[in-house]
Amino acid sequence: MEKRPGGTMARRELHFIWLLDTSGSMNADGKIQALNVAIRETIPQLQVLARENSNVDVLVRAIVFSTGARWHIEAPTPVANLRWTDVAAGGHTDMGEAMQLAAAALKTPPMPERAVSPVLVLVTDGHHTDDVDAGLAVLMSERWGRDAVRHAVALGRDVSNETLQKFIGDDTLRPLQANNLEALVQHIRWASRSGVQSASQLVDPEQRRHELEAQQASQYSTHTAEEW
Amino acid sequence: MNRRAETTGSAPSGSLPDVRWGASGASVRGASHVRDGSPNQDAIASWTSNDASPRAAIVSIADGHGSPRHFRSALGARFAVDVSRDVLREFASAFDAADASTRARMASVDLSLRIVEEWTIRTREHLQTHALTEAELRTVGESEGAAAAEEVEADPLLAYGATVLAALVTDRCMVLTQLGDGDILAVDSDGTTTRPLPADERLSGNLTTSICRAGAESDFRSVVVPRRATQAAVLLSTDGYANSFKSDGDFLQVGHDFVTMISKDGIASVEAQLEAILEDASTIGSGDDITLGILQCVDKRVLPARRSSFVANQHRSDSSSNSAFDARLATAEQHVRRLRLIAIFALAVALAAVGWTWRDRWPAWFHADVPQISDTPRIDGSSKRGGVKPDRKDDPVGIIAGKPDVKGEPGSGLPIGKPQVDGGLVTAVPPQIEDVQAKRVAAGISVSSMLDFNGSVVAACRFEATLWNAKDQKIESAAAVVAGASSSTTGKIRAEATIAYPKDDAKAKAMKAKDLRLSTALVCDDHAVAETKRQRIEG
Repeated sequence: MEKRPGGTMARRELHFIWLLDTSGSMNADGKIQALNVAIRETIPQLQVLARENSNVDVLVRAIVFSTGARWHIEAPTPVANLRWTDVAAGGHTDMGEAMQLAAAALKTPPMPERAVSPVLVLVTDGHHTDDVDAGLAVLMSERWGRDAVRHAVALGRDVSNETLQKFIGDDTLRPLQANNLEALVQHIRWASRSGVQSASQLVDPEQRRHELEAQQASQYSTHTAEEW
Repeated sequence: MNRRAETTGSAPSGSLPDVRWGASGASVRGASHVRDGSPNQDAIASWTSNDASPRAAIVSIADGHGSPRHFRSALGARFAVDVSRDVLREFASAFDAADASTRARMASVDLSLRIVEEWTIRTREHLQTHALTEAELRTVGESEGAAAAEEVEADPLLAYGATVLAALVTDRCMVLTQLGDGDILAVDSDGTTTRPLPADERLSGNLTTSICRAGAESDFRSVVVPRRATQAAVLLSTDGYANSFKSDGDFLQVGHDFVTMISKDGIASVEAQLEAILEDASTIGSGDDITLGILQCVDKRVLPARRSSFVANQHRSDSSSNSAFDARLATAEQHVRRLRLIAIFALAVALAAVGWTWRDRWPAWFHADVPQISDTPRIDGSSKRGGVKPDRKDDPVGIIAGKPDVKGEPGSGLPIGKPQVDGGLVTAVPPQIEDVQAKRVAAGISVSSMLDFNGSVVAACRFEATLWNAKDQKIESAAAVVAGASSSTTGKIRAEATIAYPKDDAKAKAMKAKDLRLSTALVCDDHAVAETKRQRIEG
């Protein structure tokens, strides 16, 4: 073949963003430590998934929100190069600001015109302390925000499930409830893996719904950890 | 799968030139499907009219859905392309004869209704003899849940879900219709490429409309475009093709490039390469099945053919009046080519004279004593039996045009971008071509090479092998995608390509000659990052 028709070819990018609650309440009952453990355990799994799915480039970022929101990992980082630095807790729960920050990152540009759906995984343990509806509206005003595969993990029982349900944007997909360390690790791992699989079309929406139900039904019993 | 057909017949009356259209295309299994063992779920069908009036060319493609519940989607795609081709064939005369408003109604209502109706009949007939099995439904239940399995059991057409795209060209109009994702591009003879169909907002993310859903006929997008003399081609592709490009602009460029290739080399040459082109795209890009259907004008006044035996043969079958016209055209083209050559030669002589006159003003680096190299590197290949050995002439083909050789280890490939020259030493940065071996096999010449990557930033690399005769004329070439090259590749990757003996006896004979020479190149992101000089093949 002397010349390949068309312009530059490339694998499509899969932009994966964690939105992590680092408010003061995450200091209680070892939640923030559990969150760090969960993310650390998820990364190798994502690396394997990315290697197996070689037609997609998985790029990871992380936002932390407490009093305000900021990037913990700002540059879209190839999952193979991803190293996790622990996050610390303290402050309010400005979830709306985190969504606005994600929305800015999902504009085109800097997002490419062609990509697979982004993946957003929201992890929180409490009620938002800012205007989360406004933040969500900004996120949903972006094409890639609307197209994103969105999962939410609720830590403990003080979470506004209504807010998380709005974030997910699909009444048939419920937030994952984690009431102990083991459940948190399992749910974050599942939500991250499932997000990547869904976005890269390795599973379709029905499969994802079915697997989510199975994940919700799974009991990570409290024989090793106390309930939050 | 590769197919071709074409229209023939006498000229229609009217202001449009005597234009004939052919239908071509190919469908390849996606790179990810090859890896996971799943089949090609795309399909393609075409038809062209041999009748005098109206002449018509049709191509239809379909993309079977990939999820477990659509477990018979490859069949559904096959039925979709067959029925859409048949329905368009049936409608061709009516479209050609109708006025604009009737055409619009036929395209937006009648056509989609008939396609869905016929697809449903065809699918139900298949179900009558091949009912869904418990095993199939169990598999759906295991992966998508009991509710999904029940849904498919209640509506077995879901198992056959697919998209469908189809195009018809007659003497007076083009009819384009599409259900679900994928692309239909209209290309003019100057390469201008457009999407005649409106965008469908429902196709965001991973979702697509489907022929298996109730009310599918209302999900079609259709348009009728009046024929113009400048229309050169219509390209239909499943979404795996567009998804292989970095941007929409990069994808749209295929319109220009295919028309140029058809114009320059003929459709037969393009067809011969089409599967490799699509496989390459799937490997580098989406990993998905890719199908491309082409309706191309085969009239040389729209797509002027050069060196195209295919078009030349068709040309001979034209009527006598056309033959006379074409003969005059061919003579005129010869004159133009001759004048162009003379002009280029005169310009080259003038430039050389000016350059020599002003040689004292050449930049200082041009006179410096340090090694100067071009951006394209070279290697000294090993001399092993059955391999390649350095040409005895001193760089006869000018890969390092007139510049000192790079001293160093065999395989001193040079970096992407500008090489660093420091005190006369060239810092060689990978990727490199370490070693090249070539041997004659029954089917051609098998070339293998060891490529050494060291974390270089490369995304899409291919290995190219080219054969040359003693007169530095290129005889044949082959290329292979370097599987495993990625943005962080480190280590050695073996690349292999086989340059097949061509069917042309003279060329095949030339490939067996003693003075045959071989060059290889590593091309990443469309830039040659390393290449070997031409070396004789031993054995």
